[in-house]
Amino acid sequence: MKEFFAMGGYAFYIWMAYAAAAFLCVAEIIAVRARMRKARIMAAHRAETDATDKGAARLTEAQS
Amino acid sequence: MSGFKYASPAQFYPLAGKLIPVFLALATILLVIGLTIGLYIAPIDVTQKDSYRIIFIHVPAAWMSMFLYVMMAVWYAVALGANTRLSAMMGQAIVPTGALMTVLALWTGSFWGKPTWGTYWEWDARMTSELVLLFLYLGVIALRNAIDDPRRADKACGVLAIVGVVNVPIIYFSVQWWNTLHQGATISVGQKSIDSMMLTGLLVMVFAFWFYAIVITLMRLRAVILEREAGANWVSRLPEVKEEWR
Repeated sequence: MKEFFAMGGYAFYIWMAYAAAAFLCVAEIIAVRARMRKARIMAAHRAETDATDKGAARLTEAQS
Repeated sequence: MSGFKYASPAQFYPLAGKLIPVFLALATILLVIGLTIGLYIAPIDVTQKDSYRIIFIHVPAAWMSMFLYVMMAVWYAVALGANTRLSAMMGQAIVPTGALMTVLALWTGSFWGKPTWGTYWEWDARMTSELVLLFLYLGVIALRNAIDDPRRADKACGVLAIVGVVNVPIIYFSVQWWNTLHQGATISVGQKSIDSMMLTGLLVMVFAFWFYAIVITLMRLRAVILEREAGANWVSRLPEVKEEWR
């Protein structure tokens, strides 16, 4: 096990490369998931305001 | 062609949702196999010893950085030519992953260069043109952020992406055209310059990166579709959007 992590003396270079790959991919997945959540909330907000706008327009139409 | 029915964001959004778990499973399986071969099973290189093991992420990342750039430019070109919404969104969804792959290619190359050439960085043709690729990706991202109207941003990003395609063959052929520090191609058709287990590990990792790029791009595409189609009836009716109602 120790020998595996030592990578024949190249541990620093190899693990710096692999750690960066792991970090970047995990960070990208987290970022995209957060973006998706935000997009859902914004879409819901938009749907809500559109619905209330339509309701308000219908109300004023009915009143006039 | 029946495939055209998926050319609208409303049709593609649920399809992408179904495809993501499939490609995610493939990416995970390939990654586990590829890493096991690359870090454990594949023998050490005669000249570079264990340091060559960086190849298993460096080469896939470098290939993806160029391939994703071409894909991005193609989708943007389709968007500019046919004025289709989904293709512009596909172009937009690819950009950050392409930039990430470019950073990864440069970073891993740097940590491979130090033990083999004695330097983290050299302004040679391969490295400089790959750095230019990163600037092109960042330029497309900056343009997108600078222009509020998404349709106008599509056009500007599309033009920059398409013009920048000239850089891709420059990266690819740089090791032949110039006398560079960077080594030549590891894999070439009909020539065997690499151990079969090394080759297997490399190809498995290439496919793992492929499927990862597909998964993350589809995930981002779904977010982009929601961002840009917000207010459309089909979006408002989505159960995951209704859930967010207060």
